[in-house]
Amino acid sequence: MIAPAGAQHVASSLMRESLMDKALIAGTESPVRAILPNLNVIQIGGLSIMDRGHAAVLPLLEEIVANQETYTQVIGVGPGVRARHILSVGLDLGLPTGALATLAAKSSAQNAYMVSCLLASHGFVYLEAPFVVQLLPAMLAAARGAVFNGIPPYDLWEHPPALGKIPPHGSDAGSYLLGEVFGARTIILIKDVDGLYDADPKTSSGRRVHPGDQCSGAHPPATADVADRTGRAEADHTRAPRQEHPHHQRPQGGQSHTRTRRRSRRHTHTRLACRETSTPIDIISCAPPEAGSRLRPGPSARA
Amino acid sequence: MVKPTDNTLLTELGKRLVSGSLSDAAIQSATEATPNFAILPWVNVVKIGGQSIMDRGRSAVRPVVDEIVANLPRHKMILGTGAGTRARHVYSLAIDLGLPVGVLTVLGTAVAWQNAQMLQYLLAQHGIAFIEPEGFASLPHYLMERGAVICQGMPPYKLWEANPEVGRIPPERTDTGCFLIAEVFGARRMIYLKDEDGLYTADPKKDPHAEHIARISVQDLLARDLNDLVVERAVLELMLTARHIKEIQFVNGLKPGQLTAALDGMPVGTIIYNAALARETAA
Repeated sequence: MIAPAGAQHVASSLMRESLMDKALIAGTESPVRAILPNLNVIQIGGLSIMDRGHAAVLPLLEEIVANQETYTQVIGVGPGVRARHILSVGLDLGLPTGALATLAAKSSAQNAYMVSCLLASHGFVYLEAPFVVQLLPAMLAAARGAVFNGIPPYDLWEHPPALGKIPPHGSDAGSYLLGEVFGARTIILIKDVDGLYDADPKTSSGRRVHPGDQCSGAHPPATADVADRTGRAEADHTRAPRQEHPHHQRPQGGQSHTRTRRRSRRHTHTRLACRETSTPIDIISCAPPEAGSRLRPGPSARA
Repeated sequence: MVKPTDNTLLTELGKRLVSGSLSDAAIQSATEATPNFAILPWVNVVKIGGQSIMDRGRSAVRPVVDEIVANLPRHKMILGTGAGTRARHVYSLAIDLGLPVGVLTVLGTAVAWQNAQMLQYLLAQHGIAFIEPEGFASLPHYLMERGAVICQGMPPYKLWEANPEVGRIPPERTDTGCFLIAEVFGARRMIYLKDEDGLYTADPKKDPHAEHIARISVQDLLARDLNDLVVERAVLELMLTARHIKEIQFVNGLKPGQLTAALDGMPVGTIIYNAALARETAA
């Protein structure tokens, strides 16, 4: 099976072709199966929730446990203030973005591990990225829940951003990408503000972006970013064909997202109904109303 | 609790980072004013093509191995491997099965891993180790001791690979993974070993009128919007935001001496350079 060119090929539709060829790439468009269509990805903010300590974290975890019987939840956790500190020291030392990403991911691993300890008696375990790849379905079958590091495992391979050196794939992007690859039912980003505003509501009188605004049409000024930019940019590329795939079965009837919220406290929120996605991204607030932060120093902060 | 503003341990930038939003463009641009420290400024990253070199077997791989060994005393090298024809097979099968891009990335990584392991068997008698992403902290030690290490070229994104704008093939593969290794370490050179003399105006395997391009800026190349390229488009886009890597070089691994010439800094094959960074250096 030695081809004239000398390379030993395996026969396939992509054999010998350049994978950089635009026509070939376009020809690979086809439907995608949802691997875990009942999955709900819940991202807990680092600065916005975790750094506030028990006043913010424990009520939220109680709510997660209350939903465990009805919903399969995988919990991503953000890094918070310790990542900001190591970014500051690392930047001062001149370290590149990939090194900063590797360092910051340890802070969210700590937060995720703490969340898994608090949920341990309900069967939630913390899964590092290689175990998410291999074991997540088993863990979900056993406990209808698991915890993962919100920051994706880009490590030294993190992209240098166009502006500045802060790693662009934060915990919002990581949670989004995990929800996308599994074809999750919903991705919920939990913050300390009621969703998306057109300016930072903590430092100015921002107007809340209306629920249901399309994410690619609702790009607010940079200061109003609730979700990290990369998470939102990836959302723009979510595959459309998944919705029409014959194999793709989303849970029908009675499992609408409004029911999730009815079961819980009333949240105002923003839903990013992406133009092309079948997985909505919800940004909701779960911080206590008078968030007198005992642990968190800064007044205007978010994950 | 000490307020950040009272904290003399934090730099001015640190105080803003601790209390502000990381998505704030003003804070992001303030981080630009920090130094760019090169972690391994003497290392060369060499990517050995999957389909172009490894899939050809002994006739192509043995001369490349010999040339790598001959350069061990003079140049330190991180040798990354491409994936090739088995990746193409598993991608087409997985696409047919309706699996998402992140799963294709996991599958493609296994093929690059196989090629890295094969290359390591061939170089084992020279003390060359195969380092996986989790072991990269010990990579400098192996480089100092033996002059080279082998790694698989795929970035470790696994299920977290983002969707491409068009199609279903993972957009960030082994060209991109090797480029990002070079960038994060502030490497001396990024060299791609392929089975062509570099970049052409069209695929030289299909179009006899394709013209060779010896040197081109990444800005010019992106503006040409060619239908086919010698390198993953993601590499060209990342070149625009890279802080360390100013140029990448493509040489013909089927022609003995091309790798050595590139390691010695000779302008063989094709060089793609970032015109913006080149101006910055000249200024």
